[in-house]
Amino acid sequence: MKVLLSIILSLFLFSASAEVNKDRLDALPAETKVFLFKDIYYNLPDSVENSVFMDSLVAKTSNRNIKDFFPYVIEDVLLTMENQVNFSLAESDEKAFRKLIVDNINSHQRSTLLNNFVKYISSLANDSNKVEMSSPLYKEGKVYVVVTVLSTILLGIALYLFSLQRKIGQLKKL
Amino acid sequence: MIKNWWKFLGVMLILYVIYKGFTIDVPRLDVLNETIRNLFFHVPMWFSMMLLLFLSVIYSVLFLANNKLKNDNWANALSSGGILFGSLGLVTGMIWGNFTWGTPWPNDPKIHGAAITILIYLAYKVLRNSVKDENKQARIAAVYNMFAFVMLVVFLVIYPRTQSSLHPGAEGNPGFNQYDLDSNLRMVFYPAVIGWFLIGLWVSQLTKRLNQKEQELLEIE
Repeated sequence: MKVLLSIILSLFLFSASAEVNKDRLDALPAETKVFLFKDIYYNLPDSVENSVFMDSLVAKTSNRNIKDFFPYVIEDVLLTMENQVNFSLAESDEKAFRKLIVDNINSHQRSTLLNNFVKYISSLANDSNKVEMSSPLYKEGKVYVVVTVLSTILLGIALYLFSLQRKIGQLKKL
Repeated sequence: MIKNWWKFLGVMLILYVIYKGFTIDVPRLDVLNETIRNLFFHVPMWFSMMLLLFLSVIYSVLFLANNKLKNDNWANALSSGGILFGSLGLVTGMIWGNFTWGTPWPNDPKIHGAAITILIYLAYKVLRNSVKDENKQARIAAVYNMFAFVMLVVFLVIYPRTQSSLHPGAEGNPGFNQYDLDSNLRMVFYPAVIGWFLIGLWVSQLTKRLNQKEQELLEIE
């Protein structure tokens, strides 16, 4: 059972996309959420936890504490496990279940968890940000970012070639 | 025409990459959205830079082996191409990062490593220009180039793997492990690397010819 669970957990952690079911969160015991949150959040590598990236995400979610959102992602993992092996999160099983999580999530999986978490937060930020601003680079799935990047590359090469051309011109005068 | 087939190949590959890069189906990922297509434009900058700088160090070793200034000219020009592509990689990465990570310059080991690498190669240029004698210049530059390439490997290949990074590929899997289920991406990515590398080679060749002519003219004077 434990092996099976850990395999499924890793499979889930490595597959990036998953929808978060907010309604099911309320059904989860509060203690479990707090526990899992503590375990995973506090064991993240410092460099990830403290990065500017995380700060900017916190800023994006308009002053809401980043810790408030983390349980949603954990809950997502739990639900997936429940669905896959009919694992029930009964009160009596909780201790064993917690131990299972601690034993089976390594640091790499933690960082994958963090990625899912970040995705969730970003989607949340988009939901709450209803005010439509003029931001062309965010439109059309941000495809204009790619256009900008490609233009920058061509412009950079062109500038380099122009400087070469100028050098050739100077040499001709010699 | 026939002699320069590889230049045409480079241009054709880039045209293919631009067309395919904007039109093929890509994995739908949050936050990344369509910017996943930057895999075809931003990432090949780094690959081409590393290839160009690797060729550069090979020419430096060749120069030390047979003392022909032609080899040093190649090493110099290829490092110019490498710096060009590296700078473009940094700038395009900043644009990309601004719209996906929310900041152009997050605390990321790969970004710092790349910046340090470019500074090391700029120092190579400064060192070159600070020595007047041609042979001495070539010799010192060649030795420094070998040191610089070792530093490149340390800062771009080894160091980012010891830290957790926002970039994919930090856990011993170079490239793009989170997308690699999709072989469509590879069909565009590898031509992109080859195409940009050939363009970089072309740019370096022009630089080399120009530098050589300049040297000849200065000698006549």
